[in-house]
Amino acid sequence: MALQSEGIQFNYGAKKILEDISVRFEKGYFYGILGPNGSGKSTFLKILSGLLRANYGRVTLDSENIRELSTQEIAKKVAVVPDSSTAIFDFSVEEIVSMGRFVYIGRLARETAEDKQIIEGILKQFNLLNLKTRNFNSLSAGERQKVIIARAIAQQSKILLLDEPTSHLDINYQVEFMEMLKKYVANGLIVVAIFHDLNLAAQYCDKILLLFNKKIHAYGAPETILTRENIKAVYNIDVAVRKNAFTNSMYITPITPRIPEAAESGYTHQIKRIHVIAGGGTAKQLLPELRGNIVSVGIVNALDDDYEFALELKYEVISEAPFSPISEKSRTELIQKLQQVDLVILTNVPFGRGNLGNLEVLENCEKQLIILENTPIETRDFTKGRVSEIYTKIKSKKNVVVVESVQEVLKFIEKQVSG
Amino acid sequence: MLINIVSGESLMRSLLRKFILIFLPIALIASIFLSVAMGSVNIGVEKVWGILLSNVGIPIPVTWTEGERAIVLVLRFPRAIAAIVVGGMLGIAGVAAQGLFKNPIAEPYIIGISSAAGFGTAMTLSLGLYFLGMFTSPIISFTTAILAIGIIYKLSQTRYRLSMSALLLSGIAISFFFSALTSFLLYTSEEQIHYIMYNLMGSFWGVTWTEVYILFSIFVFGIISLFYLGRDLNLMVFGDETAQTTGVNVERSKKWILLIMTVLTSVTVAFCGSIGFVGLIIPHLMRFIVGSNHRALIPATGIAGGILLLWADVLARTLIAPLEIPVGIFTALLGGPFFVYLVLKRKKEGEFA
Repeated sequence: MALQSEGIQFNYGAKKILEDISVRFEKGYFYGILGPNGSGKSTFLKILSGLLRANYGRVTLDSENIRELSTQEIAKKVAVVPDSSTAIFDFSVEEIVSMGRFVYIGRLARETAEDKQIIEGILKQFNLLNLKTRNFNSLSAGERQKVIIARAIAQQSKILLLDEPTSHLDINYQVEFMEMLKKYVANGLIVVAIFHDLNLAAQYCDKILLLFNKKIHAYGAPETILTRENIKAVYNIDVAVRKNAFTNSMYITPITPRIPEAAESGYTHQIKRIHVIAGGGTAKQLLPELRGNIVSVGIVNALDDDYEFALELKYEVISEAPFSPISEKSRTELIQKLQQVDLVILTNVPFGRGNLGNLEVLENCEKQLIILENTPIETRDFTKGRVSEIYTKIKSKKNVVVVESVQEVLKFIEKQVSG
Repeated sequence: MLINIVSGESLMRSLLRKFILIFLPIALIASIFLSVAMGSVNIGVEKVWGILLSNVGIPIPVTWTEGERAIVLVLRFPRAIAAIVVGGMLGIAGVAAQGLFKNPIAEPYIIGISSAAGFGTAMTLSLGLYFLGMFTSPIISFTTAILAIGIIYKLSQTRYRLSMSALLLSGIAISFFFSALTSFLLYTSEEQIHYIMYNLMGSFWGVTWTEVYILFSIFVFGIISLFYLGRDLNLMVFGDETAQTTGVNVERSKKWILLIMTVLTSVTVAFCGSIGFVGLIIPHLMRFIVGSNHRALIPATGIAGGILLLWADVLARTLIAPLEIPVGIFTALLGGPFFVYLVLKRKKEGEFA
């Protein structure tokens, strides 16, 4: 079983909606279609289900052209869940789920025992047994969506197409629902769904089809598709893409642009060269706030949280191999870097023998230094006093300011800019 | 309000539904006997019973006069059957219209069938045409109605589908057009105006068995074919796209439903004139009782429509006997307040912003 679109082009009047869309959807995969509003996602789904006809190209279902199949034949193979469903007349939940059996029941016949059994099984599976005599229009949006999906499942088709199935659902229903789809995929169904929620798609989909500007912008596994660059290009927003520690899936967070804000507050923003001495994730909060400046970070070990974060933000990083002490080479690099910058920031880093080199360089640095201190140095000194000694010496220098929060750091930078 | 009843008392509702489905045929048969007995000359129910049974060859120890026999068999009985059949036809045509237009207040006359057929009748009578005998007027009215729907249909057909909103709009336009033509005919035919008016306003006066047979066969065709499309109608309520992806050949079903509705409505208007509101009230009441599943709704409406129109006709011919009120006026009188009730109910449910 496979559903394939070959060189699909669709025009609405004189306006081109889709251009050259070729994808193959295969058994046992969960496909997510993403893209900004107006990128043709719903149109594409309607072409796949045979509701709309492409102007050029074709859709094949097991290598048969969908246009040569009857409505009934398509319905036996492809079920569709629309983005919203309303009924002007009252139907019970059971009646609606039974409607999924349309193609299997003779027109003048009643449901057979087998049909009834299938319907009962689906009602049970969807937890709808106690709602089965309820009026559809009296249900909540989440329950209604479940009923509509149950109806699609009652069609017993191998391909399930869904248009924004989670958009009306609360988070608990969303997860329940996505887990259910995953189970269907594991049982050999092809699931193709449009999503607005990038994170949900990233967590559950095997393949992502990113549509943009009438075309396929990117197609593949979520990790390769949902990159900062792609999202910036398609949605025109800055995001940080990280791995979620719990689910091991991608996690996308929008980053609000800072530069326009600074302009609004009346200051003419002046780009600064800033170096941050970080480590152990202590600069996580600070780093994104520094966007708009030329920022460098180091010396940190590769795979350190701060290292990944800095890379994600496209900052320059002076790094050392994982778990290795600071080498002479990195040390020289840091010294050179510090000579170029306007400002150095030291975050609340715990120091041991490995990263002590950072402090030693700072001791001889004459640049303006901001120390972001949340805990006393003694509590993060893993060298039996050597660190505290140097740290105290640095703190007593006159080009040093000690602050306690990221806001204070930013205020200080701003003051420097305006002054 | 409706929603509470439906969800809270679903068991009661399903019992009520079963009861109604058994009750309706019984009520129908009882209504036939009662209504035939009633009239300007009262004939006992047992006599009606006897006359009808003896007519099919079962002798009954009840006596009646030859005059009573003629009244029952020639006048009242065919008239009762005609009223039932036309009521049923208009009822199921209403279900078809509401399903087709996805609108609970659509009715079979909405796209101008009655005004087109009315024009046909007015034209036949004012020109004094009689080339097809007693069927001249019905055949011409039926033809004008079908022609009008044909034009509307052509106007509403887009590249891929039949546009329901275009159908409604052009239907309303056609309806005004034919009403204007009819008014013009009435205006210019001074002497015959009363006769034409009487034929335009629905009535079962002077219905013959031949007409009853024709009406009945169209009714049987209509109810079976609509029942055949019952599941299509169920799914079409959720929108064309949902219906299609569930396996309904929507465009084909739409055309068939439109055709069935047109034939049912045009035939009733051609034979009995325009009888409003039956196609609106009965589907509405039955939806409330048996639900919206068309496979229950269509038979229930077919029978209930018959009962309603039968009693409306009894009232029409007895209320100011020996004079008759045209039953069309009567149903409209009944339908107007009912429509207002619907508006008020929907307003209360917050359906109007």
